[in-house]
Amino acid sequence: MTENADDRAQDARLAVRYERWDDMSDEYRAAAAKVASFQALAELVGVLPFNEWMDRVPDYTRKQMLVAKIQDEVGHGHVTARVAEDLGVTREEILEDFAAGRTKLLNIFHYGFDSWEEIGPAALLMNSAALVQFQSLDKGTYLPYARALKKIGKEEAFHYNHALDLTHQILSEGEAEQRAIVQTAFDTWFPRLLAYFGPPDSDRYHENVGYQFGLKVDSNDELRQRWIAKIVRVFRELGVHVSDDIARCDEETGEWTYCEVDWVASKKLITEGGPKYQEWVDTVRGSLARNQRYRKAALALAV
Amino acid sequence: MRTIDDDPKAYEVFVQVGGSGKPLQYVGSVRGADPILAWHAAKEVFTRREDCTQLWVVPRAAVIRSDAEDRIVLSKGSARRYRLASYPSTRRRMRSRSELA
Repeated sequence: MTENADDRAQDARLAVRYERWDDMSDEYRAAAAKVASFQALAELVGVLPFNEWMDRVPDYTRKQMLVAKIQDEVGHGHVTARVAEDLGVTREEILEDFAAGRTKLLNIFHYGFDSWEEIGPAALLMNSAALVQFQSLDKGTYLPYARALKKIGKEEAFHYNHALDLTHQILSEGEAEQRAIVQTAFDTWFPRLLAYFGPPDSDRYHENVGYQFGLKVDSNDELRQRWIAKIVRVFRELGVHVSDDIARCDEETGEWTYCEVDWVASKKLITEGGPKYQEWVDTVRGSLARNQRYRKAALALAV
Repeated sequence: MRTIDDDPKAYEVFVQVGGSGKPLQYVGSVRGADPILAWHAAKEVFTRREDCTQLWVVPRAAVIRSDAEDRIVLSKGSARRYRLASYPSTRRRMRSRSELA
């Protein structure tokens, strides 16, 4: 904690912070709106792969927990969309832009889950990565967004523990075939999450607008290292094999080396759409169309 | 970019968590077509984890808030040391020390 306070004092980027009503440049406002609306979309669409499993959960309590998670994620979408709305980007725009193919989706949300056993390890990787991201972003300069992330972080901790427990249950009580799925899921999703943190830092990452404004607090590589350091140990303790080819810690420097990420394929996925992309676009489009008359009616009735 | 500062559908949200004796805390805002819908939206978004004993929504336009220029006036508290609980005894010690000297 003291380290962060020192960082803040030393880092001019993070020194000036804004409330909604403070004077800010149009560039700052646009950058903050972009960050908040991007996350709102990630929350609202990122819930769809889980939503799909709501009626297939093989256990009643797990189902309750999954439903709670889904409600949380939609709530996170609302909270971050509110931040964006106050900066001039409406909730409708966020969804309509996605439905019209105008906005890109984070790589990890282009996929679905093929089995129940895949969900635990995949969600554990996703949640831990999100926590590392949020615990960095919540030190950013736009305070309504930082506060939203602190609220989100609390609920994300529940998702993390649920995913951890689910993975543990399958590995300790499941059959060999189920345990094998967990291993395969780890091997499949780990590189996806490496890519989730974004491309490696170039020499010019300090020039990034979000970084300059202190909306983005740490660099992609810093966050990726922080995440690997945390999550590899967790999976090893669960009994998942993490080979040196996938991630290895240099004893001397403490730096992690990890498997190569195919950045060309990753970029292609985001621009052209992954296996589930079109389905999510159709879902959002359908939902907007279906609910339009109710939205209109509610607004007309409102006093 | 346009700024929505007087959004008539915006409601500021206050919650009381941690027991009924605690002060209400500002947690964020919601949009609602009317106050009742806004209250329900706030319930869904902001009362999901801790037990909440009070939930208030207030139309944004009804809030009188301080401006940057009020900051000096508002922060005067700590500048007036003589108002602090510890001041009289601190002063007594200083006084007796100076008498000894």
